[in-house]
Amino acid sequence: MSATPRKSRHRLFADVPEATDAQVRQTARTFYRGVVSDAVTTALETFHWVVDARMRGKRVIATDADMLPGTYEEPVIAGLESVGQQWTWLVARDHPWRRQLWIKGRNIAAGDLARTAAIEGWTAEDAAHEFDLPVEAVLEAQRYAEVARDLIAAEEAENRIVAQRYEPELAHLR
Amino acid sequence: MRIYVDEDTASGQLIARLRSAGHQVLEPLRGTPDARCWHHAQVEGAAVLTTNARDFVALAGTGAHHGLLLVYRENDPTRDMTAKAIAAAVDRVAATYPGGISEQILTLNGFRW
Repeated sequence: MSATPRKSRHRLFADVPEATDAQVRQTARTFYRGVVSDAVTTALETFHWVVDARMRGKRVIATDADMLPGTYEEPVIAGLESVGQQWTWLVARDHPWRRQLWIKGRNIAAGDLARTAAIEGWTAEDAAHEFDLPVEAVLEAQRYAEVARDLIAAEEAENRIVAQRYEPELAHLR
Repeated sequence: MRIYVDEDTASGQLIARLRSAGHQVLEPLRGTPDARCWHHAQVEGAAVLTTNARDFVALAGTGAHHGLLLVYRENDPTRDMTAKAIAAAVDRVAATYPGGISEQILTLNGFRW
């Protein structure tokens, strides 16, 4: 009976700023079910893809699909295949000023859900339990929140501006 | 306080914390437009708690109401209010306004001390 060969895994330590640590973990949670090594490995592979393209005299740019030249290359990045494609659990809504997507059948904006989960430090499973949603809906909302970050931030700012008008003068309340 | 927690804010944890602090919490009407939720809260004599400030402030301007409690996302993730902080702020509002908050709009971010 032959022994199963041990997987060769290495532990890597790096001193990084707090913001980088948070970004790595958020990326892992959003795209790789919390597996940090997958997030880091994929990010590095993508970086090397860019480097390789540059070494071959190419430029790496972002463009609309209908503007692509006849011959083009694009990287296959694990975890991102579905981003920007049809959403299963998210829907657009006819809303007077909000343009972000919403959880299907619920009055919860995708960005609000992702933000609440981040604030509370919840996993997708935790957030699904807290709001009685399928885990897949939460994961999709988190992915969407990454790709629509600026739009969501702008809508949060609109609410913040309104809410700040109603902050009490604290001195006489404390 | 009697509170209607808007669906986007109504985590199980927040509802549980509010209830354990002695507040009467109405379950959100799922998938229901804001105007109907607002009307429901008024019929039930409840203040509305929401992060959706812009839409509910507009609704509060349409007539008499039982109060509106707002929470906003700070432009600084380290200062954002958790369910625990929101529940504590609601307690402070209740202590500060023992007669209730009818006709008032209050932002809970200002009740952290």
